[in-house]
Amino acid sequence: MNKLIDFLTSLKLTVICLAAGFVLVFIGTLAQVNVGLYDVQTEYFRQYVLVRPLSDLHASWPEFKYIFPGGYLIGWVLFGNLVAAHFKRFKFSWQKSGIFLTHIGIIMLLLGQFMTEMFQVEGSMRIEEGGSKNYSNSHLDNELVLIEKGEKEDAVHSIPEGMVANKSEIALPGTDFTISVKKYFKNTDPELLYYARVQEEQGALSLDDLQALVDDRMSAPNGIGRRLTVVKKRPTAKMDDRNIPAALIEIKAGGESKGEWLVTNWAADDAMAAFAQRVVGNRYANLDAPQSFEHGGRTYEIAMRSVRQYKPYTIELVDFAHDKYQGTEIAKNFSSTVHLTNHETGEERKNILIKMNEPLRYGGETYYQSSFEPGDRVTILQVVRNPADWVPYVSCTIVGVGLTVQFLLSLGRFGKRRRKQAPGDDTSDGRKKDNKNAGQGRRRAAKSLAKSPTREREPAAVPKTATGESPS
Amino acid sequence: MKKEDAKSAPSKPFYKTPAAIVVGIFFLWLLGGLFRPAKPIDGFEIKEFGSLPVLLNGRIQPLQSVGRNSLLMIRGKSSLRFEENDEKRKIGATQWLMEVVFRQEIADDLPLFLVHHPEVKSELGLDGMKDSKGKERKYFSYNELTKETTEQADPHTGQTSKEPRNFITLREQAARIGEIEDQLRTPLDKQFWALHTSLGMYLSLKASLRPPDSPDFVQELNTYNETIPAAMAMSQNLSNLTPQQQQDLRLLSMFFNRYQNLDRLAHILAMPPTGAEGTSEEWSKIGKALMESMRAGEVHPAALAYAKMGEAFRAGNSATFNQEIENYRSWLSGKGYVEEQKKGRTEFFFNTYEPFYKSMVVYVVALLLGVFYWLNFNPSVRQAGFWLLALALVVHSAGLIFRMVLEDRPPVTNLYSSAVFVGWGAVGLCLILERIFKDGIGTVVASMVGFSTLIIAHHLSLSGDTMQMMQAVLDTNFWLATHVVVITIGYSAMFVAGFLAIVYILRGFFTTGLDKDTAMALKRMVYGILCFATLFSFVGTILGGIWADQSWGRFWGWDPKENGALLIVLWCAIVLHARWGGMIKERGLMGMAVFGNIVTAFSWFGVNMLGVGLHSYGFMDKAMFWLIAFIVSQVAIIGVCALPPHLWKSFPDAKKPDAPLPEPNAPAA
Repeated sequence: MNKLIDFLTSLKLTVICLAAGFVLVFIGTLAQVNVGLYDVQTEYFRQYVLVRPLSDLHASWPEFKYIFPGGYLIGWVLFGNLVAAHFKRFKFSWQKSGIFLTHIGIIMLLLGQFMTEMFQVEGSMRIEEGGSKNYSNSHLDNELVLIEKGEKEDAVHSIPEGMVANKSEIALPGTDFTISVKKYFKNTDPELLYYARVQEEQGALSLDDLQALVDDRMSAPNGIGRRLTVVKKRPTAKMDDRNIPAALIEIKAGGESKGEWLVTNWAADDAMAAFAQRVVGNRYANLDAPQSFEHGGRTYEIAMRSVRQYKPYTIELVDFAHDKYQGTEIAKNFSSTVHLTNHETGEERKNILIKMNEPLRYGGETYYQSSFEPGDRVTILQVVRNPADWVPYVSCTIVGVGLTVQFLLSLGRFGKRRRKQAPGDDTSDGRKKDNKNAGQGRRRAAKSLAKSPTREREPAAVPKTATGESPS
Repeated sequence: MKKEDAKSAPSKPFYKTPAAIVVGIFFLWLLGGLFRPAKPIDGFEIKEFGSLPVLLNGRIQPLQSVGRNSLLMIRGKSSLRFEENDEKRKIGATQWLMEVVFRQEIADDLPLFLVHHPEVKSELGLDGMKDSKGKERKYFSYNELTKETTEQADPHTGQTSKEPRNFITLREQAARIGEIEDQLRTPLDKQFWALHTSLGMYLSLKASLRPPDSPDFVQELNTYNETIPAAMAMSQNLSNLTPQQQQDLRLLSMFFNRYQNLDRLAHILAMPPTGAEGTSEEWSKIGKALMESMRAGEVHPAALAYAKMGEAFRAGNSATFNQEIENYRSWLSGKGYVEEQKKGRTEFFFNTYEPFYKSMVVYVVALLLGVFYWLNFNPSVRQAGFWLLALALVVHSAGLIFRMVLEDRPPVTNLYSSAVFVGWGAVGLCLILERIFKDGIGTVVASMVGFSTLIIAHHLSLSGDTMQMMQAVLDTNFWLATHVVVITIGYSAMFVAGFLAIVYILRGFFTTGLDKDTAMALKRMVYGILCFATLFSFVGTILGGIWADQSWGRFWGWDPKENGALLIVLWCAIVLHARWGGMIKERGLMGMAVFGNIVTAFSWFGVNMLGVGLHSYGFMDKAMFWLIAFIVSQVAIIGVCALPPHLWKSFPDAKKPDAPLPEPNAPAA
């Protein structure tokens, strides 16, 4: 038992954890090329144990699966090791104050990062000049929504994409609606875009492509599905790309069919619709107009869209500016001028400038200038809510101070030793003093002097004489 | 051996030893460069012309920089050396640019374009051409590239015109290669692509200050100038034109078309805003400036000034040429372009002095002295190395400061400047080590790292202007000055630790020169520098996280560059904890420090090549090759380090099979 405790608090375990972390970060970096940044984050870093094929690391390597500790496991073991070691072995002294501070900072950093992973909400807000928004869109999560239009307020029933992907019959609680999923594609292109892409890639449509058009396409007899056909596309893993799902659903109300509908982000998210329109022109104008049907004297809307995070305030884009350096295409600056109106407090803020490196912080959220659309009329703001965003600042300061203190202490000792080693002063105990730098090592060296003779076997461990040069 | 050093050091002050002469010579060489004026060539004030300010890549720069960067991109050298009539000639960047912009008929004959791939040569009809020594030629002139022409029919007008056959070939090749992703291009593709780009750049340079086909540009502009008022007068009333007015109008539209074409071709924005009504408020190309002249009512003074310089140069009239430059300069000053001219002169001086090249030379000499010291332990040799290193560092620093002033930026803004800065930081650290330990090791490591990083920087500079403007997201001096600088110093420290360890391993294994004192000193150096590297890498990485949080709301995004920095920090932590826990001893520390070189190189360059490395089939980028070569060499050194002590020449006492000693690495209870 003692042995186990010794191991759990040992420097050896620290080194093992650090080494595992080193390897994990390295393979996680390599895997980004094939797996994509988001998947690497979830499959490698936010995991306790990962089981991944070797082909992640290099496309031509075999599918053979390997097991490795994930980021969470390494993080928690390191955390435990660090805390336990401090309780068990570490006695505070000024000589070690730097190391002590460093470790406290690192513990905070690990906790803060864990909190960030757990609680951070990210989204983006796309606003056209003159337009406004009171919600942001999630980057990754999509939902199927059935909206019951009311006079004052709408009632929104949300079904996560995962349930749609299971292609089950979905009964909406509290209503007599059932939604049955006929077809579901994780990633799609609008048909015209598909043609354009295939032609760009290979010059012409092959027989296979035409076959794919038959098997892997989706349209519907109602609503947008009469104008829009989507074609299945390989799901993407790239960081700057996202999957745009589509589903063919039939809505039943109390056993009565309300028809088959095509629902997809292409026809619900303004950014997607704008993109499709920009690439293939007017045929895709107003793709994001709502699809609605009547039932029991009420109007219902149906859509697949990225999950919306509503705010108690509205942001209006007054102007988007994109400057370039004279005579070049190098961007000098992107900035958005916005008005902010809070409906709850009545607060109004005019002409707030959001630009690169100068975000807007409001209501616990931060708005960053993230992107724009060609034509310089549409801004895309990144919206982040992270309750732990202050932690890195504090912990980094602590670690920075800790490392600096420790470095200066070592330097001071080094200087002292060199002054002592003036000609004639034959300090044979350089080895022991060197260990002073070494936090835990020092105590052991002091305690177990009996062991020190064995160390002398190490080549050149004990200097016979001080170096002969004059320290002038 | 060391004792000698100590004994003889006080007997004779360094400045009286013969080695001091070496330092003196280099000091004079470095100092002399400051006062060596750029001599006029055949009476033409190259310096005055070369330092005239123009706008390119979004920044004011002297014409010399335009010529220099273009030459570097086209030819890979900052000057043009060739043989003419069995005579070796060298043309500097400014002089070459003058020929290109003013005297195309001469420039077109200069062997400028690098074509070495045999298939490209035969495709372009350049094979079998030998130089005077009978060697295959690598450089070809514009005229040689374009000597064969083909009749081309214009699809719209039906008129036939002659076009060089190779233009068509290159255009077709470029269209084909443009479809291929960068990393999948073969060396053949790359050569075609480079040649196509170079040719395009050359053609635009030719059209940058005068139309290449104008027999007398001054006269042309005078004619144009006379037409402008007449045209202005009749622009009110286009219905009743006299035959003379109609003639003027035709002439004017001819000019307009001509300058429009010139504008499309040209490259340099050489015309400063005049402030005249209806003209551009930004620097513009000569074509645009001439089109706008119609509205301004007179030809753009700068266009006329350059035309006069050009004609004087063509006529070989150096006095007029120099006078015209002076006139143009006083016009510039009158318009308030004082700062621009100053910047032009400063950068001209910087380019001419070549501080990084000069310090590179001195590093090599310092390296030789350092190694020589280990052979004979003559203290004056060591001191000479030390002082040379200090000299080189001064010049290196001056270069960095010059760049900072010119760019108005912190020292590291791109990969090129990071290489310069890594070298600088490493030399600085080593100089401190050498001052403390006085054993020549600091000198050797400093000069190795300094020299190699400057070579790397030189190769990075071949891809174009090294003082390019910053992308919007990087446009923040605060974070560039903190995060980037701190993390780059971390790189420096990692390399210093790694190279110190290499010195330990190579000296220890292959020579008997690693005595206990030296080994001990090296161990302390490596350990201390690693601590320093840990501090800077950690703080730098974290500052990067804070920058990311400030700019796009993510403290940590696991992107490759961030991971690279984290790998360095983790590696330092591993080495230090392993050392503290007694898991590694002296040799282990050295081996791990060498591995730190690999980690740092991966973080610095490797992550930028990730896509390249993993997606390239049968082809490797040059940089990738060198990175892998470096990694292989480091692994080999670690392999040597792992050999048991009794095989090391410096450890003759080491017992052969280590007697089983109680291992001290069990944690103390």
